[in-house]
Amino acid sequence: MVSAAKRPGWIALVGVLVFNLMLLSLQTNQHGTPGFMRQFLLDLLAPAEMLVDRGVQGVAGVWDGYFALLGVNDENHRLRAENDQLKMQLQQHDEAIREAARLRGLLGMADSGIGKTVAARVIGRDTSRVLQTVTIDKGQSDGVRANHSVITPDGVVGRVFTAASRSAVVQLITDAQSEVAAMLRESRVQALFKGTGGRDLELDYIEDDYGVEVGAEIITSGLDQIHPKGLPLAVISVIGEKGEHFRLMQARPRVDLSRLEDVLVVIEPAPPTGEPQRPASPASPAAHGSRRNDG
Amino acid sequence: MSRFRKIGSVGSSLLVPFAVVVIQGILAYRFRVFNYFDLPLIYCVYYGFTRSKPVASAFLGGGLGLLQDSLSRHAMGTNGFSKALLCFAAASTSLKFNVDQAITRIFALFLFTVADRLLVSILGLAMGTGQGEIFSGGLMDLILSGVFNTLLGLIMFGFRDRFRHAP
Repeated sequence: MVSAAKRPGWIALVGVLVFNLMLLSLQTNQHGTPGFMRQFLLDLLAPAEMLVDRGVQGVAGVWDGYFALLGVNDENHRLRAENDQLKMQLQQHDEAIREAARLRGLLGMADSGIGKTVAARVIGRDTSRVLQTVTIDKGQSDGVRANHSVITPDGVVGRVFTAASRSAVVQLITDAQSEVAAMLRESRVQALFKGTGGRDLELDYIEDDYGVEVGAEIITSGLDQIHPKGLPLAVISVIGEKGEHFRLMQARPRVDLSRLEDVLVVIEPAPPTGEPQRPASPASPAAHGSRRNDG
Repeated sequence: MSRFRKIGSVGSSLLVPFAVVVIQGILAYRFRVFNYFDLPLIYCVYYGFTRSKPVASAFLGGGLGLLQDSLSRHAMGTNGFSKALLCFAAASTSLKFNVDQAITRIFALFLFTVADRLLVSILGLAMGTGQGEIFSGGLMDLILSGVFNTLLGLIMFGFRDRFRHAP
C-alpha cells in the first residue's frame, strides 16, 4: 500500500512516463509525428548553441590570430609563389571549362551543377555517443527541408533529418541508420552503402563486385532521390572475404566528418543531366536509397 | 530574501537543463572525447541526489531527455522516458540511502549510465530508430562511458561537498 505522502511522486513519474510514451506512440503510428515539439525545442536551443559556438570561435580566432603572426613573412612569400602557380593553372582550366560548355551546348545538355545551395555552419553535435547527427544554423526559413542533401566541396556529408525554423539536424552518412545509393566511378556499377556508426561506410548491396579494388572511388548515383548524382562519397578502404552474395567491403568517407565546420545544403537540386539515370525499379535494392523521414 | 532564493532556484532549474544540453552538444562537436560523456545524465543524478525531490526530478529528467532527443534523430520521448525514470530513481535513492559516501556515488553513476544506455537502446529498437546502441557501440564503449560519467560526476559532487562544508 502506497502511503498518501508518497503518492504524488509516483503519480508525477507515471504522468511524465505516459507523456513520453504517448509521444513515442504518435511516432510509431505516423499519424501525427510530434515534429512540432522537436522543431519547437530545436528553435529554443539553436540561438543558445549559436551564441556559445560564436564565443568559442571568437576565442579560437584570437588564439589562432596571435600565433599566425609568428612566421607570417615566410608564409607570405610561399603564398605569393603558390598564387602565381595557381593563376597559371586557372587560365588553363578556364579554357577547358569554356570548351566543355561549348561541347555541352552542342550536345544539347543543360548545366550539370548540383543546383541551388545554402551555406550553413555546424553548431553542435548529437549528445549521445552512438548516433551521428550534427546541428546546423540554417533551417526552414532558409529553404532547408527534411531529406535535403548536405555536402561539402570534398563530398557528401549526410541528409537533413529535421528542419526547425532557424536550425536543422543532419544525419551523417556514417550513422548506423543511414544508406546512400552509390556507384563505382570507374566501372559505374551500382551499389548501396550504409553507415556503421563508426568512421566508415559498409557495403550493403552491389550489382557486381568483380574487379573492385582498394582505393576505388565511390560516387553518389542519385537513385535515392536525396543526393545529386556524381558527388564524391567515399573510397574503398577494406575488401574482406566473400559474403553470402558479394565480398564484404568498407569505405572511408571523402569528407572528414569529425572536423566539419561549414557545409552546403542542396535546397533545389538541378534537374538530372549527363548520363541518363536508370529508372528506380522497386526490385533494385539500390533504388531504395536512404531511409527517408517526413520530419 | 527567501522569495528571491525561491525564484533563483526555479530559474536555475529551468535554465540549467538548457545549458547542460547546449554545452554537451558544443563540447561533443569540438572534442571527440566528450562523446563518451552524458552531461544530462550526470546532472540528473546530481540533481536527484542533492535535491532529493522525486517529483521535481521526474519533470527535470523528462525535460532534459526531450531536449536531448530534439538534437538527435532519436524518436521524441526516448531519452525523455529514460531520464525521467532515472532522475526519479536517483532522488528516491537519496531518500533511502546515504548518498554522501563516495562508493554509493560511484556505483550509482556507473549503474545509471548502463541503465540509461539499456533503456535508450530498447526504446530505439522498439521504435526502429536505433540498432541497439548498447550492442553496436560495444561493451568497451559502454564501460568507458560509465567510467567517464562516474569520474565527472564525482568531481561535481566533490565541488558541492567542498562548498557545502566551507565555513
